Amino acid sequence: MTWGLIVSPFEFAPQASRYGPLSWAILLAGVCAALTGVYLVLGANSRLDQARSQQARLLQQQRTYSEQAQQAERDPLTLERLKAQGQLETLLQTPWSLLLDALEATADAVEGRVMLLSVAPSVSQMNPAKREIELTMAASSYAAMLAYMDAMKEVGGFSDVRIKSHQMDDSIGPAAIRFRLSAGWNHLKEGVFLASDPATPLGSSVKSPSNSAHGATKPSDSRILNHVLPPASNKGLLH
Amino acid sequence: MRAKLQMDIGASHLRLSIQPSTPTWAHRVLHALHHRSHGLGPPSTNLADTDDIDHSRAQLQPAEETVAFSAAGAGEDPADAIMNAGTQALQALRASCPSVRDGCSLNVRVGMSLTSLSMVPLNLSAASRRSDRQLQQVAQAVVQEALGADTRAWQARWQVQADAEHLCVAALESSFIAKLQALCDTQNLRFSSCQPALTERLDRELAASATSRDSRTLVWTELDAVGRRHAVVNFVRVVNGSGVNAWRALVPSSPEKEGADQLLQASIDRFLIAAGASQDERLVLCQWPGLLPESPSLAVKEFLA
Repeated sequence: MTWGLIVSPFEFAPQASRYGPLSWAILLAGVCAALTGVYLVLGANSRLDQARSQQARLLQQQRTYSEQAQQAERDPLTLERLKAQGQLETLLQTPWSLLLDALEATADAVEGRVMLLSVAPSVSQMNPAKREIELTMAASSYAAMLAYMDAMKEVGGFSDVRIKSHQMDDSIGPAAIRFRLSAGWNHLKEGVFLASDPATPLGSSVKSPSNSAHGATKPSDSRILNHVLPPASNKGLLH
Repeated sequence: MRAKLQMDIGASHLRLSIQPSTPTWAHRVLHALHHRSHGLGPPSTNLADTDDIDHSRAQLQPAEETVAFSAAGAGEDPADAIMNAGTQALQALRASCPSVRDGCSLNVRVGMSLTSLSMVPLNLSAASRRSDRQLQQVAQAVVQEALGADTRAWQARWQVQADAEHLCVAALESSFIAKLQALCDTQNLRFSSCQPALTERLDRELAASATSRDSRTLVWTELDAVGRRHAVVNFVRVVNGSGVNAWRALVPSSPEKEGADQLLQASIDRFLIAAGASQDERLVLCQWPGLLPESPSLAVKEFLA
């Protein structure tokens, strides 16, 4: 019995195997290797097909989203909702710290007592790029109210300052006036609330929070939608 | 586990033996599982415990039958005489050994009295000259020249030697192979191999010569019916792992006196001279098939020593 690759070349038996057991073992190993290769290739193809189908699904999904977005642009309700969402996102980006600093500095620059009761920033419906601010304030006199309005006009960041309403409020103090004031503020200059005199930026004259007119701690969270002073803290402040 | 039968066909004797087959690891595992499944406990080492073990012992013990035949019978084809001897040996072996069953494989080694072996010098260094078709044509031409017979009646096999300058051609009669196949079919055996006995020994000598880088001459003799050397003698000279000369001679056996075989010695001398070898060339004497029980010692080795 020959264990080599090939049986003796002098083999005369008609049915004798021409190749030895080692040949068959090598052939078997080769077949096993080939089958393993085929299995691996098929597995890789399967994974590739899965990746391709997933990619096609994502493309289809993306195309659907795109179509939905285009459809939403044509739908007024959806467009309105998108606008409101944009405004909300804009408001969320309000620089509260700088805004309050500027308002406090303005109050400090006015003779007489002026107190900030509430702040409500908003975005113009017509022009989303234009931001507005509506203030509710209390002043000890008419002169102080007008002086505050004039002082705000002097601040570089504000524009179109005007008093929307005013009324006497005896609950705050004698001869005290509660008034509402609206102003625009240019978001392009946000963070640059300066006095008309560049040499004396309002931010530099800001008092510490304990000495401020409204006497409340400044909110530092930039995600404040509006700011309202607690009513209980208002009482008697202007006396 | 089926037994393998080995049939050695000499000049006048046919020996049929069972090749001792050692159980493989797979068989050992199956045997152990068989014992465990039948609650027999671990396989016993005592060979006489069960019938199964007795059967294994019978497989492991080599058994052989030797039958003499006369190739020179009146009007009888020598191949037929060999087939009859093979049938007798098979029947005897089947009777004595139960492991010889249908489906066993039969390996046949044929002596040189029935085989032709030639060594042809050829330049086979170029791969274009070693195509099977060209080599087959060369082999057929060699057989026709050596035997003077129709090449279709003979089957030739060949092997390019290691030096790529010699082609070893062996031929066996087609009818003889067909009769061996018929014998296997009749006896329900599988004819798994049939090779000239000399080539097996020649392979060993070629390997040894290639290792030691020497030259040696293989002297192949067989026994006749009365136990003396058969007249057909073969010489094969091997140089550095390649066969370079082969010679078949009819040398009558010398009358046995003082254990000398003068005729064989003279024939060896002539071969060495013809091959260009020195007189102190290493001789490898091979008497085949060896260890025949009834064969007397030919004492060739003692004579040539």
